[in-house]
Amino acid sequence: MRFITGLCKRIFGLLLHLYPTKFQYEYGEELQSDFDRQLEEARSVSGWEFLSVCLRELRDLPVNLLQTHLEKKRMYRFLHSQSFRFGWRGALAFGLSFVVVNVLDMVVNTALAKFTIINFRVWMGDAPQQSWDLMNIADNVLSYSVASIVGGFLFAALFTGKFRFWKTANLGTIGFFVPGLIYRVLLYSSNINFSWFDWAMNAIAGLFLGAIVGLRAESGRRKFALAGAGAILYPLLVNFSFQLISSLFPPAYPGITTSTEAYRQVILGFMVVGLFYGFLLGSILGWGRKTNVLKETNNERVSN
Amino acid sequence: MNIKGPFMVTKNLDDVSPLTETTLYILVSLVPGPLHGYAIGKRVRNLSENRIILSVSTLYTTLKRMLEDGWIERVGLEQEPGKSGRPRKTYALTERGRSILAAEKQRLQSLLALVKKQTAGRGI
Repeated sequence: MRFITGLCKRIFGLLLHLYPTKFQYEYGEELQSDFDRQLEEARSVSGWEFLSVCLRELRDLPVNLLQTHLEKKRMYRFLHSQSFRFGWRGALAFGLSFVVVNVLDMVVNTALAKFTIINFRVWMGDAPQQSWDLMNIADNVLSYSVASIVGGFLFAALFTGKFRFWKTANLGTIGFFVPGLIYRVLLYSSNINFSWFDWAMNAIAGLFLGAIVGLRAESGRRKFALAGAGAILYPLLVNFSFQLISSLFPPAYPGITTSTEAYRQVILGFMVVGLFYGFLLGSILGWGRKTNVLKETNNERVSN
Repeated sequence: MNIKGPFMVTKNLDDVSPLTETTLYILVSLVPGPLHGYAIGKRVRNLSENRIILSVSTLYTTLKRMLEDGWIERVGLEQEPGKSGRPRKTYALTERGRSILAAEKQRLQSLLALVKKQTAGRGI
């Protein structure tokens, strides 16, 4: 633990060099000593507390760096706005969790599939094709549950921190799990294999994510609009990002995609979609918060 | 509403209000007296009952902006009792910072009055 603490301090010290020289000169020492002290205190409390300090810094440092570099310029006001900060937080939280969920799902699913096939053959002998598909659903549901829980918790840790952690973690887990579950059940319980199937399933996932964001909207029409926007945007983004990534990083051997390349493409693809979607989600939440305050202020002015 | 500070140009409150939660909490934490950066972070955490935990980068980026806007000032160095190492820079509210806080307090009070008036007797 002492080695990790030392390493984190060193990394933070190196990251401080990314600030403008004047800022480093004025605040560098205070930043470093406060971070060191926070880490030491967190270490004595628990491993979770230690991790929270690191995650919080990882989340906030990029925006603060940008803000410090761009201040006095037109971008400053935008970067300082609540909607941008929420947007960034949402993008990072959702993007990373999205990648973790999907990569973890692939890894766990692969491991489970191997395990299940061996047992299944011993247990059932020559099982009909339909039963194989059912076993596939079980594998997928199990692996996606594990991945969704991890993803939901990571999302909550990055997006809200300790405040409303459990509520966000639950929402995140359900948000990741339900679209994935629908997708998998339909995929393995039917023989549908059309090219539009992925589009349709992504639309369901998008509808669900849009509906989650829409829960915070005031009017029913707005809720439907957000859910609809999610259903349209999400499949478009997923397909566009995968097309873009496969054209930017084509497989080394045409026709043969090695597992490493597949993983790389999937990670990049999910990262692009996740960041965009997360930014949208965070911005809407941040923007909603600010407009509520402004509306109340305006109402008060009118009544006066 | 206009805010006047001792050395600042008159600035409209609409440009700074509503304050972000971080800014508001930092201003409030400095009301009892000057504090160094780390103590500000701690006090914000206590005041918000662990709801707002500032990362050090956010804390110092906000402090820098508030210093430049003249809302706070550096008032000296403080050696913490029982701690070795270099003394820490301490920050205090300026007159302008107090005016901003007073204006924000007034805004929040009128908001609260409005909410109370609108929800009175309606079970909310």
